[in-house]
Amino acid sequence: MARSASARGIQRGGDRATEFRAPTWWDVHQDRVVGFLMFLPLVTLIVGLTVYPITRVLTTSVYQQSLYSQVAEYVGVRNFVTVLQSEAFVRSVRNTLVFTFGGLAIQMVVGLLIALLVHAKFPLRAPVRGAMLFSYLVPYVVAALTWRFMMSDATGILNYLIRTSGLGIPASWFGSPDYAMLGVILVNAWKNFPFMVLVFLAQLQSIDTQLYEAGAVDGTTRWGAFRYITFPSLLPIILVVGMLRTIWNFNNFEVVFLLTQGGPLGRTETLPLLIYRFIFGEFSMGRGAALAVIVFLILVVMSLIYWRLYERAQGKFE
Amino acid sequence: MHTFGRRAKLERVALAIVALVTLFIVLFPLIWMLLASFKPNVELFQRPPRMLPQDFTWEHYVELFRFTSFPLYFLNTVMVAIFACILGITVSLLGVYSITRFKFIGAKPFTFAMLFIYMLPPILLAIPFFQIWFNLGMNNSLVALSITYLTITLPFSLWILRPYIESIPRSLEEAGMIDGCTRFKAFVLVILPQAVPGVMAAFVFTFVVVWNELLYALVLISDESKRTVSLGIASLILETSVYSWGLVNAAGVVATVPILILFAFVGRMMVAGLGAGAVKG
Repeated sequence: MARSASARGIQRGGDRATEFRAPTWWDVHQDRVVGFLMFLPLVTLIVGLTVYPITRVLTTSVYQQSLYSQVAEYVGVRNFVTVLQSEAFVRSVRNTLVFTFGGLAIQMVVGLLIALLVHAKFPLRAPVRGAMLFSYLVPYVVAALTWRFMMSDATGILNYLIRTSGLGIPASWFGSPDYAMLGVILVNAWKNFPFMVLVFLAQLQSIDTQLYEAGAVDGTTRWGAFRYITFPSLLPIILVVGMLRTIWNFNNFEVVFLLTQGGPLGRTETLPLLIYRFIFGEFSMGRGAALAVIVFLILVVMSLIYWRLYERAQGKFE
Repeated sequence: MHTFGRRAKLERVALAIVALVTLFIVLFPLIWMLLASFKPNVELFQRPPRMLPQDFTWEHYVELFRFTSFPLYFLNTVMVAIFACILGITVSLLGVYSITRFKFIGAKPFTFAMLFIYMLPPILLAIPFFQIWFNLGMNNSLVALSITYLTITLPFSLWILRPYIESIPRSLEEAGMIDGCTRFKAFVLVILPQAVPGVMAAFVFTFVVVWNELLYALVLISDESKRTVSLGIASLILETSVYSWGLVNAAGVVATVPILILFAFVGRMMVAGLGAGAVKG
C-alpha cells in the first residue's frame, strides 16, 4: 500500500516540477492547517468534556437546585456554609483520611514486598508476575461481590472462619460499626496493590546491577544493599505513586459504595459518598456541587505538598 | 553472579514456593468466586464450607444466560466500550501526532493539563454530566453514556499513545512527503502502521477501564434494559440480602473472563507500558 502511494507521489511531484507556478497561500500553509485540523477534535472534546462540566459544577455550587428540576435559585456561598457546618462533613473528612492513608500504607508495604519477591529469580516467575495483577484488573463490582460473599452470614468462608476462631470479633465486618472501615480499607488494598507492584518492579529493573556488584565487593549485607541502593532509587517513585494513590484512594467511590454504602451509622462515609448522598439521597444539587468543589481544593493542596516532597527527594538522590 | 550451586538452586525453589503461596492468598477471593459459581445452592450454605464443588453444576450459568437480562447487559457494555474506545483512540491519535510534529502555542501546557484530569474525582464530573444529559432528555441513553466515557478513554489513550508516536522517526513520514504524500496521507500510510502496537495497547487498556466502570453508569442509567454489566452486578449485590449467591458468583466470573482474556492477549505489552508510563511521569 505504501509503495503504490509513493509511486503515485513521485509521478505527481514530477508534474509539479514542470509547472513553475508561484506558491499560493494554501501551498505554503497547507501542512500546518492540516496539522491544526488534526489537533482540533481533541481540543474540542477536552473542552467539552472537562472544562465545560467543571464550570458547570462551579456555577451549580452557588445555586439551590433540586435534582430533577430546572429551577435554580442563586444563594451565594450558602451551600458551602451549610456543607462545612454539617456534622456529616467533619465525620466524612475523618473517614476519608483514614481510608486514604490507611489504604495507602497497606498498599505501599504489600506492593513493595511483592515487587521485591517477584523481582528475584525463581522458576515460573513470568506467569506468577502476570497472575499477581489479576485483582487490579477485575471490576470493582467483582471485588465487592466476592468479599461480600466471603463475609456474608450464611455462606461466607471468612465469616465462618472468624466465627469458629473464637477471637470474639464480629464475623460480618461490613455490618459492624467498629470493623467496617478496616474491611473497606483491606478490600481497597487487595484491589489496588498490584499497581504498586507494577511501578516498583519497573523501577527495580532499572537499577544498575553494577551497583549491587560493587556493594558485594565491599561486603555489603542484603539489608545494607536494600537500605543504601534499592530504597534510595525507589524513593522518588514511591513519592510519585504515593501521590497518585492518595488521590485515587481519596476519590474512590466504588469500594465503599458497594461494600457498606457509607454505613453502618456513617462510619465509612467518605467524601465522595457524602457528595453522592447530598445529590441522590437528599436531591440537593447545590450542596453536592459545593462539596465537590471543596474536595477538589483539598486535592489540589495535597498534590502540591507531594510535588514539593518529590522535587526535594529528586534533588537529594540525583 | 550466576552461580548454579546447590544453595542457589535451593534458594530459588524456596522463593518459588513463597511466591506461589503468596499468589494463592492474593487470588483466593477470585478462586473462591469461581469455585462457588459451580456449586449447587445446598453446597453454598454448607458448614463448614468446602473448597471444591462436590456436585459440580452449570445451573447458575444457565440461569444467568436464560432467565436474567445479563446477555443484554453484555451487549450494552460491549457497544458502549467499543464506541468510547474507538472514538477516544482516533481523536488522541490525530491529536498526539499533531502535538508531536507541530509547535502550536499552548499545546505543551495543554497536554500537561490532560494529566490533571486524572486528579478529578469522578463524582465531580458525574454531577454536571447528569445535569447535561438530563436537560437534553438523554438520561438512560447509551450514546450519552459512551460520550461520557470519553472523559476516561481520551486521557488514557493520549497517555499510552504519546510515547509510541513520539518514537516513530520523523524521517519516515518526511520520506513519504518528499514522495508527494500530503501530511494526512503520510499520517495514514506511514505513521498508523507503525503505531499499531500502541493502538492495541490503548484499546485494551481503555476497554478494560470502561468495562469496569460503575459510577457514571449508576448516575446516568436507571432504565433496567440499559444497564451495563457492572451496574447489573451492583444492583444484584446491593439488594438487602442476597439469596442467589450462585448466580451472583457466576455473573462475577462472566464479567471477569473477557478482561483476563484481553489481558492475556496483550498482557506483556500492557505491563511494560503501564510500568514505563508511570515511571516516566
